Amino acid sequence: MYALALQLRLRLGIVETGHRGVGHSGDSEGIDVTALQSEARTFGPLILNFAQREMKARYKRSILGWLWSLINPAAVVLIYSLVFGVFLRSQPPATANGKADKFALYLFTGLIVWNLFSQIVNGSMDWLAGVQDLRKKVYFPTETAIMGAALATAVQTLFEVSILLIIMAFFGNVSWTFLLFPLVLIGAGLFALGLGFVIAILNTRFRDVRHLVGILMSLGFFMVPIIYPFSLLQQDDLSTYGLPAEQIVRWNPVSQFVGAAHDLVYFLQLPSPGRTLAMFAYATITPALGLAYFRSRSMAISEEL
Amino acid sequence: MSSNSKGRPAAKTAISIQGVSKRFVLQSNRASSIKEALLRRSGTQSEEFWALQNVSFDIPKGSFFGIIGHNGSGKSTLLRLIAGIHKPTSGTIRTSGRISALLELGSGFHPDLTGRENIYLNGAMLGLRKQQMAAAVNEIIDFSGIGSFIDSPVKVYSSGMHVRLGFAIAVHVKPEILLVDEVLAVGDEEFQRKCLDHIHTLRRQGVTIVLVAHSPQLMQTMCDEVAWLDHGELQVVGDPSDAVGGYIRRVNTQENARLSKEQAQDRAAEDAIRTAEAAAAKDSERDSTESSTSPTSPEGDSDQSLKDGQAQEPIQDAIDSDRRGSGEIRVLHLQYLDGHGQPTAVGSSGDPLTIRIWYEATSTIERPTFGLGIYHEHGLHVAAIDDKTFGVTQPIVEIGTGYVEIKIDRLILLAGTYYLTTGVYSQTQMHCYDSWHLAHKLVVQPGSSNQYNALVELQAQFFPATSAELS
Repeated sequence: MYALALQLRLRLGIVETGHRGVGHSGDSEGIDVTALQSEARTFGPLILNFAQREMKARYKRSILGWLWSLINPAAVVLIYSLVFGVFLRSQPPATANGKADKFALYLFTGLIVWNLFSQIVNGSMDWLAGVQDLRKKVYFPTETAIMGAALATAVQTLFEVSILLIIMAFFGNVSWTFLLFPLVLIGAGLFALGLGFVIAILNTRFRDVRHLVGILMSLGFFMVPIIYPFSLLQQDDLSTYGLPAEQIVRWNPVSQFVGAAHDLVYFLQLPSPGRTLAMFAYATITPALGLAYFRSRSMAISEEL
Repeated sequence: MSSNSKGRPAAKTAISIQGVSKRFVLQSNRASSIKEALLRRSGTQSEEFWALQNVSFDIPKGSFFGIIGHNGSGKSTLLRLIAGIHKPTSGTIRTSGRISALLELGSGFHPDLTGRENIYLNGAMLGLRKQQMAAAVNEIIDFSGIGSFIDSPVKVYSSGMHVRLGFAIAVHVKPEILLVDEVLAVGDEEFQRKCLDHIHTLRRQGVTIVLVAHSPQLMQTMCDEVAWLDHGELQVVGDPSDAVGGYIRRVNTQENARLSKEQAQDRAAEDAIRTAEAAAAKDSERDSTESSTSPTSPEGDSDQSLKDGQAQEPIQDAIDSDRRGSGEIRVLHLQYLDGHGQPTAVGSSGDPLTIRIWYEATSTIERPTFGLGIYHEHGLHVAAIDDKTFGVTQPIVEIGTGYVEIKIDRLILLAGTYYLTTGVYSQTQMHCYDSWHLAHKLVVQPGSSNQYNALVELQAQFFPATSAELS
């Protein structure tokens, strides 16, 4: 080793006379490492890289691979349809053309949005934990890991969406409002991402967060009109033990996105202006605040065990 | 030097470190659940550790800059701060240019991804576009020499493959600043050579290179400037020989103190054994001629040797030593003195050293001959001298203790561990009074000599190349 070092010095000695002062073009003087995130570098490739990684990791070493992303929701739809639609005789609201009023389709529509939301929120904790070791050894904007994996989740959701739309079309329940459905999904994804940023950071600090989120998610599922029509809560004889059930379900953010999905795909109508505005606000303000919080704390995760 | 024709005076600093401090909170004391955090609100005292304290210096663009310090001096922390992995607790670090870092084994690899996928991941983390990466990928694979393993997950790689791939990526992503944390020591000779060649090429292209190591040799041979950190504080920054010299002096002082302490302990143990053995020998009234390993010296001499404070005691369990001789005169121990005549536990390359051989005679000896042999720890016989070599004739040695002194003006042994053999013979060397083989340890540290790489310092003059016809 030392012999090699010596050898190098001899060579460097020659270099020193001739090549000193060869400058580099494109100097970006005075970049503060602490503000490295804001540097105008292209991290698109990094986000795509993490997205690819998430897709590969998801069905690695499984025989059916990608098919699982269809089998899973299909199984859930089947089970819930059986329990709620057949045993409990939940009545789906009528579709626009009145022909596709199958409980399973109503359920599937809401479930797609909910799955996207819950996978991103839950996943953000794992995604951050998954790159924590990497982040201890090399700097990169850590939020790209969560963004990338969320992107992968969104892409996977597109498969479910196309299946749903094909079935709807099969029943003749088709309209141009289908075209707006992706926007609702993007909005729901961004909202989930904003929450995910915060939850992921909290989870590196307190491991309780994961358990808490699990409970809130199973509660949340029933606070959104997925397995029941919203009209159910408006029945006069429904006893809610004094809880403002209708208000909670009506105003919670995820209900806006699920409701909009029902509007566009099931009822083939535009969401109300109020709902549209609310979704827009959730889809912009939440990720902005979440990302700001994430960035203010993400430098510290390289020091967490 | 004239190539800076465009004139960009402001672009001289690649990395500017201003009053940087870094505090770590020891993890064991942090609340890890919400419950804990709530319960420990009052009177929480978390243990803090300042890895760096108010460090400021600039690293010039295009320089080869070294950061030296012992373990825990904060040098690696500083490198991580420069790399942007940690944020300084206070102060600022300003960098200009793309930073590529090689911080530890397989740094920045995801174990489940293949080598090829990790190349793309690393490139993306540095903000490179896919096209830029595609151009570099084959170069990286060639350079790493990983071959068909490139499409296997990184977790099956050997540590050597990790480093090779890591290095290959780090140097092929067109860095403007390259941070290296002493990882070059891994990998085979051939790859090391390749790495150094490549670092040399990068440097010629104007890349700023920051190397962290605790090897003085590496620092002095490679760096333009060196910063020396000790316990998170900057000691010296600038000329490599100043910084490295300061570091070596501090290490030497500390090692000297440690060795002296160890030796004092060894001596105490030795004396206890000697006392016990002497008592046992007296009891059993053994034939004294055959008991060559058990000292026949009376108990009084242990008091004598204790008085010599810094005296060097043989470390017998360190290496096989054997002893023979009739024993009328015996070597007690060796004592080392530095250039100022002060006792020292170690020798320094290029500095004076005096070796004092303490003896005890139990009868009057007519003109004995004293000899000294030096062996490298690997067994190589390095030197052999006796008083005759220097034309010295010993006087008649009376009963009692005394010493002979060997003064070395300039110790040309380079850093390492040596074992010394002493011998006391009759004038004609026909009779052996005491031959004690490899009984005395001598640790040699880097000193004022600027040579490092072998066993001995060559005193020579080096002349520049001269054109000449073959004669």
